[in-house]
Amino acid sequence: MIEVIAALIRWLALASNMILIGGCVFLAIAGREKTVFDSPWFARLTRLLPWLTVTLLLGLLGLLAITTAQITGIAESAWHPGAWLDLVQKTRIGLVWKWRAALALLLFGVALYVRFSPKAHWPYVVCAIIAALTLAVGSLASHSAAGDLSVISVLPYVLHIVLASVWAGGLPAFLTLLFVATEKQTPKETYQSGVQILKRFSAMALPVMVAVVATGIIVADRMVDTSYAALAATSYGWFLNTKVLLLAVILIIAARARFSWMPLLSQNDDRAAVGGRGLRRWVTVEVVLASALVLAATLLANTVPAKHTVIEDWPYPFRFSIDATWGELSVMIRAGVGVTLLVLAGGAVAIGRSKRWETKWRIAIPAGLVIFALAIALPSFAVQAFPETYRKTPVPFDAISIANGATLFAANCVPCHGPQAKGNGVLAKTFSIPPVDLLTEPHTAKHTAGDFFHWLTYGIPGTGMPAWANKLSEEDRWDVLNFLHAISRGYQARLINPYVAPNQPYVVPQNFSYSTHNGASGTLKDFRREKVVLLVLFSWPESRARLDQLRSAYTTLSGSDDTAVLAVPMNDLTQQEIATIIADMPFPVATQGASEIMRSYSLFRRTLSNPDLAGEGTTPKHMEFLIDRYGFLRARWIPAVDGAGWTDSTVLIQQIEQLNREAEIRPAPDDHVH
Amino acid sequence: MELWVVRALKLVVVGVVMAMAMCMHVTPVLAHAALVKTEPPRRAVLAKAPSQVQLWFNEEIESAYASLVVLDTGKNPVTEVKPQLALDNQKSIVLPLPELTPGKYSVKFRVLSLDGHVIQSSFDFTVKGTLQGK
Repeated sequence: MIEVIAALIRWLALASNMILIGGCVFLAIAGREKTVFDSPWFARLTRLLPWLTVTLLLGLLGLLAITTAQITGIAESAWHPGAWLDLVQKTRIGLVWKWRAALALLLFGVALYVRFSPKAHWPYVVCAIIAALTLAVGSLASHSAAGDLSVISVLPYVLHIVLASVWAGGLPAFLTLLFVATEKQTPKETYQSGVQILKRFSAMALPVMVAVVATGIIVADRMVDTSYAALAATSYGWFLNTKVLLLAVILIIAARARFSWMPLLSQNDDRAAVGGRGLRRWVTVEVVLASALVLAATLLANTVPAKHTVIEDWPYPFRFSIDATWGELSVMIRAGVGVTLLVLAGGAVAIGRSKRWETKWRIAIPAGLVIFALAIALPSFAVQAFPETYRKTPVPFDAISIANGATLFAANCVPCHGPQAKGNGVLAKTFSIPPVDLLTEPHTAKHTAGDFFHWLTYGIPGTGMPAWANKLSEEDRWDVLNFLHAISRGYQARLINPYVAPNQPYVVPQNFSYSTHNGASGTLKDFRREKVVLLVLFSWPESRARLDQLRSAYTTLSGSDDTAVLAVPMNDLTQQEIATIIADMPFPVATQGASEIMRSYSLFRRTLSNPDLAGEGTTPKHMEFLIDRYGFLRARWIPAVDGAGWTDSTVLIQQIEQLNREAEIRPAPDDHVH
Repeated sequence: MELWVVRALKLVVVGVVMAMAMCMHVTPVLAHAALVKTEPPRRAVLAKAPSQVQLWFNEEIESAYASLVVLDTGKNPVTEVKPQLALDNQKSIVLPLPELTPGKYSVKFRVLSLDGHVIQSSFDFTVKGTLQGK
């Protein structure tokens, strides 16, 4: 209930603010001719301005009460002015509200001045500017202002709502004048003067609408990002679709008004009457649709944006995916045919216009080609989907989760999937459809994390895969999924060797948390944009010589403080062993979190020459990894496989120098699998 | 079309083109506040009991509306102390803890980001030993 009231109050505040902007702009345009000051319609609209500002102020007050209730999580706080004051005094949105309220009060003063002072053009301009500022300040507490507050982040949104206000907010005034100017008994002079004003507004509205659409695309692109599925399955998506649909209808009406009915007003009486009737009818519809559009925009602004929304329940049994389908010849052929037909549809539009086809053919032929193109191409990109397909894992892709997933996999999955998830467990051959190879085949890349979660939860009908919902908690199932991603990434990373492939970051290692022998703690991510990390997984006492070597070379390795070295024991150590290892150790040794780091990073043991696919696999006694400043695993040295490698510290330093020379090539790795 | 209308149109078009050009060439950071790191780590099994819980977010939060409680296995808060902003970081809150006995603990938090959105979630950690770490 509180959500409905909140939406209505927000709508009230937004709509009154928009009408104040658009109405004042309209009156400013009209006021360029001083004769209109005496017109009853002009006086009527001017009288409305103070009332609109009162509505805005009441809306802002309601907004404060509702926001207080939502933020505190206590519905009663909506009625406690003390709680409002707290919010206003202690938060940024409170500060923004304070500015909006102050500007709205100023606006009230200006509106009163406009109402009672001698008529002039400039007060309407001032009124429009203050109203625009009141609205623009609100964007400092919008989705667009989340994160780093900057002109770049807020400007498109500000332009979008202010320009939309100029157009949509001006429509009621436009309609008022339209009814006055085009009635039968209207004097000739009033008619002509009114039509001139309407034409001016209409001429201005066209580029304003283009700008509204352009800025709207930018804002929507930022809020949706690549979460296109959310457009068809979330509140944000449906509000946005509704807004776009309403806008499309409005644009058609506006175009008809601008190019068909408006020109008729300047022709003979009969045609002018037709134009007047058409305008009155359809601009009324436009105003109603614009009100609905503002409501949709209000709801949109207060809904979690698509890119942050979790689609808990995908409602369709399919989804479209290029990643999962591209590569098959039939898919590529059908996609090619589809694109060709789309190009033909574009050509048909151009030809239809140049050859002056009948309207029905100008629409039917391109539309038919587009439908045909989509009917051919889209099904080939469709893959099976489940309610959980787009669910985002709440469990980060980190060492703790992967280690737990490995334990669960070993305890529950090995008989069928095999010890390394190759689909070669002892029971695998007893199934008519054997388990797939999750290690070497790119299943984790072709299916979403949600798909795997669905299969883990409900099983796979017709195969031996049972449902695990009653045996593993939801968190445990996500852990198993993270483990499957980790083994797959480990296999893909077998191309990595002791030498950095310049400018080719592609392996995303899991994050991990650690505490060290000297009391420090942190995560791998803490080094991002700061230092290259040399991660040393060692066994004791087997790695003693190598640790001594690193100890000697540390000063050179760490160079100008741009490299961090972190040693992680692979076996359990006694206090005495730890004391021996850390004696005079210049770099930290992980004491907390070591087990999880070892278990998850040992999945990166596979190399081209030694993919280690047999049996349970063998974890080397010593491994070292270089992780670049942007979070990518770039080089790996396994003495047992790669030979001398980094024992020559010059070779290691060359790799570090290469990484330090590189700029950011790819976006930072995500914390979760997808 | 009148001259002033043409001028206004030019201004609008130039303004929008400039705005678009600025926006298209910069990838701004646009995100809601999200938890990026915790100390102790989520689901960690600790040999030493932590002396505090610290949460880091990806954007600044309103400290006056931050709530952070640590519950023991009986769902009782282990301390009545309120969380504070970290001294050196406006994106982080800290809750000092009394000495914790071995067991599983739940951390529940509810914070308000600067853009007015509430973020709430929880995670667990387990203490194996009693000696307080840093």
